[in-house]
Amino acid sequence: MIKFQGSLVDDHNLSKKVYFTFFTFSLIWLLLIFLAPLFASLGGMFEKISSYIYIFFSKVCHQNEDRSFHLFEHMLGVCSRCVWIYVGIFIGTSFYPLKYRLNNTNLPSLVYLFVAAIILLLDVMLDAIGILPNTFFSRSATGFLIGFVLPFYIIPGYVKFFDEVHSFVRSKLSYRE
Amino acid sequence: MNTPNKILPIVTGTIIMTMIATIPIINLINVFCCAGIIVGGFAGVYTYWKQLQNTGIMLTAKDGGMIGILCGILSAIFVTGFGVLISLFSDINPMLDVMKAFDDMGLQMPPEMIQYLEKFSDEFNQHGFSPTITIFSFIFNLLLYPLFGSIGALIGVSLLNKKNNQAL
Repeated sequence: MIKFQGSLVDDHNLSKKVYFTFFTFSLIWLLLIFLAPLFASLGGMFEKISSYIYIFFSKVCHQNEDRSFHLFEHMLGVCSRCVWIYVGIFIGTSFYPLKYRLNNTNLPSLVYLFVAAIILLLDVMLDAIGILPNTFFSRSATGFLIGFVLPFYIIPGYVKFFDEVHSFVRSKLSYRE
Repeated sequence: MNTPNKILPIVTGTIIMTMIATIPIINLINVFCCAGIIVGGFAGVYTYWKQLQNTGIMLTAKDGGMIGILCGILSAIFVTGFGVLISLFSDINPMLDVMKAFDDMGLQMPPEMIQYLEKFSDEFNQHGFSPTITIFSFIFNLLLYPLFGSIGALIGVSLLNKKNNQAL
């Protein structure tokens, strides 16, 4: 029978690297969202960089001007819901070590993930079918909620993934020697 | 017992990611933080998990993550390729639509932006697609698809392993 293996990985240094890479990545991602309008307002070379940041985020967000927060008279890199999803991911990642050890691979109950996802879907669907129009507040709150819970499922997954890849590569190398 | 071949899970995940990204209206799923790519990664891992049933082999994060990354890389190639093909066969110059949309909204575009749009528009008129936009799109796709694909796949590994543990 298939069994879920141990809840902690042995290589604590590797899990630290995975966590801090994820933390840095979420911080850079969030900074880019706020740098897009800042660079657009500076003009010149910065404006060109800003346009590439907007193009990059257009792959992950509709960038609807009416549904976005503005800074320096330019919209942020993504819409209000996405901004709060990424703020949530960053804050969730920052809080993660307070709840779990970095080499943890155990997930919290799936209920939290499903509840956050269903609330977000309800906010989208009720607006789409015209029953209850969503607002900046509802989009931000539901976005933050799902963003906040996601790192608690993603980080253990990445820690386990890199630990297994690391062990696999090490065993292959020792086999060759 | 031999590990099942991973080609079917990778093909399944790639097809789902590519279809969601290219079919009009359905591709709106991806504006929700690349949800379609996450679903594709999950679908790839789910297919692999189904293959592993009754073999006694455990679904590992290594295999799941690799399936997600590979689905992402292949989808990035296919989505960019389909984008070029659609531009070539549709005879539409999207840059003209962008300029018209700005005009309709009464927005004043900075001269540099007009210059860029005209450059891209010329590329569309000359080749039927814009090589500059295609290259940038390909680079961005190569970053985003494996990233979100692996997230979907790793969430899938965790969920499916949890399901197995509950079944025990």
